[in-house]
Amino acid sequence: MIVLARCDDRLIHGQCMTVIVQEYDIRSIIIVDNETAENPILRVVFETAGTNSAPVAVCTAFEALSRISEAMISPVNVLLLMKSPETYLRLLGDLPGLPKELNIGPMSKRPGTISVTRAIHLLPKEAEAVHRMDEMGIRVYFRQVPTEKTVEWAQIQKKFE
Amino acid sequence: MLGIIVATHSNLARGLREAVEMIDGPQEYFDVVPFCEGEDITFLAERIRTIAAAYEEHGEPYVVVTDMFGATPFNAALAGLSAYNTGILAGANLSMLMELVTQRQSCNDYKELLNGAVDAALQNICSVMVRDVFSAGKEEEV
Repeated sequence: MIVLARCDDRLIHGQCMTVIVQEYDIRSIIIVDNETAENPILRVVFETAGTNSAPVAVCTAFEALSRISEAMISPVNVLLLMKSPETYLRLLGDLPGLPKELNIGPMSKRPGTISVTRAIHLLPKEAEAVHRMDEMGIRVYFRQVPTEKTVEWAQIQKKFE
Repeated sequence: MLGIIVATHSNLARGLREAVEMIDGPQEYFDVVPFCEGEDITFLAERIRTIAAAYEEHGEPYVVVTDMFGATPFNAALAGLSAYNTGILAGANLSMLMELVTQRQSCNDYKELLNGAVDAALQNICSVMVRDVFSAGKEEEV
């Protein structure tokens, strides 16, 4: 089953592998990101970053559909990892059985981003995707690691109005 | 001589270099690439590639030493060096780097250098209970 759907624009990195994978006892990671999946170097890099106990698959949004469908009924704890909430919004359209919660982790400061927390920054189009999911009844919360204080979309929504 | 490029989270790389130099004196062919808040994998990969390119140009061997397997400095090294036939180490510690800097003067076997560095790093990781150390002798006396 998918135990965590998460946005993190660095995808697999130290924090993900040491904290998130252990906290949620993740046994399989699915990265859904067209840009990474279509880049032959980055695809191999992120697949290599997996471990025997938590292997990584990198997919385009299209390739992801069958893999996620399998993961949803599998007994294994799966982490679904994306760079943008826009990807989750798109996946929800195709797979309505996906978890009704989305965790937004570290998102880097980029041109045009508005800061949510010190380590989480969203582009207006990413915030728009969060807003759409919120209207669909999806809980979107912001938190890098489980020990950090959770920030809910309702608390910071005004920053993007 | 083997070039060493240390790429880590934050200032660990600089600290490791200072520690190595405290023990073995100033080092040549020893670069540090700290990965700082706000930088991304592409930026870091490009910095590592630029340093590696100078070694490639002169046909000199080099290794990128990273702090953790699967973490951004490691991923960036892999992405930046995809066109090159070279090595990356993960799990950097002082023992690993000391082995590299002391052996690179005399050893010309690239794989032997890298394997030696991994062995040295692993051999120096242990857990010691202080009481066990000091009580061992006393038990013998009794």
